Amino acid sequence: MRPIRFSTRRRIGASVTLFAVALFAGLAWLINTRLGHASVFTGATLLACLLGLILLGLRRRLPFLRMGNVSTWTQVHLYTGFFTTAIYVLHAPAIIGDGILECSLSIVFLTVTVSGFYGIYISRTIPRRLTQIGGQHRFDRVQWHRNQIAMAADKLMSELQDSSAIRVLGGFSQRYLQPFFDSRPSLAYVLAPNGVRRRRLLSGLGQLNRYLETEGRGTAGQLSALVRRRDDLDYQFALQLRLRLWLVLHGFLSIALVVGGFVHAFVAWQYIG
Amino acid sequence: MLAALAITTQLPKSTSLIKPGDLSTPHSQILASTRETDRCASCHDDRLFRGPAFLSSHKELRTQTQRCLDCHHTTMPRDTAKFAHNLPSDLRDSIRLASLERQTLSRNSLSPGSWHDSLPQPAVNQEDIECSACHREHQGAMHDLTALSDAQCQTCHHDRFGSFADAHPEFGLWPYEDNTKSLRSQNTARPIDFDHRSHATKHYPQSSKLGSPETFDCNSCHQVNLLGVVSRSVNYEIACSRCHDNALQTEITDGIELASLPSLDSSIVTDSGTWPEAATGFLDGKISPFAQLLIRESDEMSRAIATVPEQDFSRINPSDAVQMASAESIAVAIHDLLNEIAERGQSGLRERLIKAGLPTASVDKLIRTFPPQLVETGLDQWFQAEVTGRMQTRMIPSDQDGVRTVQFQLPGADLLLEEDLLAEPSEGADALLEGAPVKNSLRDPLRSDDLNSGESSDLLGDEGLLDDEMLDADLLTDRLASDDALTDDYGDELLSREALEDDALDNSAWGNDALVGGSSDVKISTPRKKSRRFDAQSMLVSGGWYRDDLRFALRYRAAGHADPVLTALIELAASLQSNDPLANRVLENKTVAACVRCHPGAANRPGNWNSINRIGRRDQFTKFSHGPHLNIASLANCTACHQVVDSDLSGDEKHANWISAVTGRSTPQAEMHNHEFAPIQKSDCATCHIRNAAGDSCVKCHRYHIDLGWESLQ
Repeated sequence: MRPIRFSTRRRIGASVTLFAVALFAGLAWLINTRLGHASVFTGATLLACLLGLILLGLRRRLPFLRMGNVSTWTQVHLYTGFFTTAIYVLHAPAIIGDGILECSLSIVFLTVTVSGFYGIYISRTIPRRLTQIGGQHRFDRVQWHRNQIAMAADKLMSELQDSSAIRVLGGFSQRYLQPFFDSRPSLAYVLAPNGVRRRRLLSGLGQLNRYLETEGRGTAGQLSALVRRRDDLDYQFALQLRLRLWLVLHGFLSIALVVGGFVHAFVAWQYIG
Repeated sequence: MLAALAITTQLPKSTSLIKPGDLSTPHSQILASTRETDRCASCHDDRLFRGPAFLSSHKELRTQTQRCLDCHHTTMPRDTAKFAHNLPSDLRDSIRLASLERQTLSRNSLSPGSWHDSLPQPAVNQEDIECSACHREHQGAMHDLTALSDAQCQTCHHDRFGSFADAHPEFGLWPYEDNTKSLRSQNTARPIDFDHRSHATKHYPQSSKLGSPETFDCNSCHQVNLLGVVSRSVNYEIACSRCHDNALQTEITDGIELASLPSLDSSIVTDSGTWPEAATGFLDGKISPFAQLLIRESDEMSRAIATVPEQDFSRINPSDAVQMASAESIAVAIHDLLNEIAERGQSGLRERLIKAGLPTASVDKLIRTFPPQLVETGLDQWFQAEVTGRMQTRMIPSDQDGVRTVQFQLPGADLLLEEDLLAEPSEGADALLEGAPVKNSLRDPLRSDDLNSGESSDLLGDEGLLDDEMLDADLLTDRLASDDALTDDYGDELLSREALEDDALDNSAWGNDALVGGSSDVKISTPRKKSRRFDAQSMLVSGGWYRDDLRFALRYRAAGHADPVLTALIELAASLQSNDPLANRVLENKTVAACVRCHPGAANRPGNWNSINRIGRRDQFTKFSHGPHLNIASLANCTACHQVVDSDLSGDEKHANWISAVTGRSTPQAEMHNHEFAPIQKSDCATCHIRNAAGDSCVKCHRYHIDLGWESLQ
């Protein structure tokens, strides 16, 4: 099957979603007009949508089942999420419920929804950023690569012959490079990876050139390369960690949302009168 | 999730575990003082959170509608609360049929439908509608529980409309057509039949020409109170008496008749002593409606009455044995009635009327002023042969021996004028005194027992009393009154002279009695000349009961407007079954008709004398208040909406055509009465009643909850 263009796919998805939202809104209005309980209708729709949304995780974990490719499932998941958000507004115009149960459920739903929208954002931006860096590092081997970089840096320092270089680079390495190579990135960097420390280290190494001879300059250059590699590695680690944490949070809250939704549905049915 | 729960418990907004939204202000105020745990239980069954109790049978659950009615039971009765419009299905069906009929007769096309018509009928059981179908709580404090959209209102209706200005049907003859028609009785009679048109276009102008300063002013009768409520009627004394009182007095002069002794044929009355001689000879007289109501206790009597043509004895065929027998039985029944009243007073009347199924309040109002003594004296006057219990006595002067004698006076006889009764009985004297046999079939009920053998000269027949030694005595010759009585042949010591000498009645005080005195002469004043017939018009200017001895009738003369006896009688007539011909007989009475002519509604529904204010009336689908409208300068004048029809229109047909032209509806001639007001046009209301102005929603002018019992409470 010939793949469709991204823009076309998005237009189709948005149109179908908008149509579905309009249809259900009209049905809710019609039910309300004809003295029915529109909240039951919208609530049941919400619950059904939540169940459908969490099926994506099931599909991802059961790849051997022939149920279509994950890409399609992901698209359906996304637009179903949009639809669910609109239905939620129809179901609870106040957005945040009053009672403890309803309020908690509202917060969880909003959290899942917001995380979902964030997931759309990071699923579009992080891969591109990761690709720009270059290199493909598995998340579970990042620490090994860090160790390799640190060992390479130590080796370079140990191979220096020039005494002035040893003195200049040794001091800089001891003070700045070894902590950089030996430690894990800070939480601040993981949450918001940036090039500040990279530029600072590279700048420092560059300023040492006037004090170094040819050997020393060559070693400084290699150390700069290691700094870049380490920073890229940390950057990838941060972005990958973000993706993974988002997925855990989104998935876990979705499960809690479905459970809470069933509880709410049961209570509402009992109290509907 | 736990974190979210922990956060929400700290939020001031959330104090309840389960709370889908804030209650509306009225409910939240009522429940404000209720404990948190009981607040939900006020409207919901909280069994869900009571552990094992949740597992108990759901049959014990009280529905939410039942809980709503715990507080709102005054708004609607419980038994009809779940019916659509709180009306039973048969009434809804009749309303629906009437609507279809109106549409069929309408010249215009049917009202434009609604998009609802393209959808299937909603699954609403019109016999089981919960309160929550329309009234949804937990929509916030400012939510109006009574607010419904037009679409919601019309969900269940077959006929649906768009906007008020464009699609609502014309008003037709509203509010005049359904002036007093209730949903239950469908009674179209107006409480007060006041012809605005004739008064506005004819009577008032004529009176103005005669110099009367009165002009036809709506506000003279329809006064507005401080709340803006317009009264529908005003006192008779204020509005009507000046012109109508004289005529009314004339019309009610005849009054009503309680009962009268008919004149019977001689063949029926074989012995004139048992029936007034003046009422013997030929069949005449009518059974008054009142008397008919009182004597028709049994089917037999009802059949007898029905046998008499037009309840008129003069129309009886003397050769018809059945009619003659009926006449006799009716006469006996009337006599029995009078006797019962004489003996038991108002109780006798009351029991008969209540037994006839008439309301107690109206019965009491009717008989309250009735004097049983009138009947008693009437019977004494009419039935002079009646002896038992109706004797008058006087003391005659004592003789030289000081023996007081007692003379028995026959009813109707004047002691002072009649000859000495102690003489031999003259011809025509009371047969009872002589022990003469009673041979006529018109039996005195008091005598209609085994004692009367009809053959023996002894009235007591074969009774054990036959052995009474007194039977053979001549009762006229009172042993006590003669000297011979003192020589008691029976050895009665009480009659001995010596005993009587010590008679306690031998009181010197009697000497002061003009009738007794100490002298042998009895001094009495000249008796008042007793006229043959009582002139009620001059003697009862304020109304009252009286006796017509000429016609042997007990009658009532009304006092005037709102006479209590007449109103009670009309209410009793209205209480009768609609197919009871007696009701019409009562209402056809000239005096009664004078009342009903202006108060036709009272003849159909007891107590329907005055026009009930429509404001606050909960038995009508339409609600309206003059107050807000009178605040508008252009509507302050009544004629802005209520225009009396021009008097140039003559004849019902022409008026009917005009009505049809205005309303666009063909009104069957038989159903239309002479409408005096021009119909109110919908376009007049639609000028202001649009969505962005005065509002045009269904609930603006229409009511859902209909209280059929409202009418009976007024």
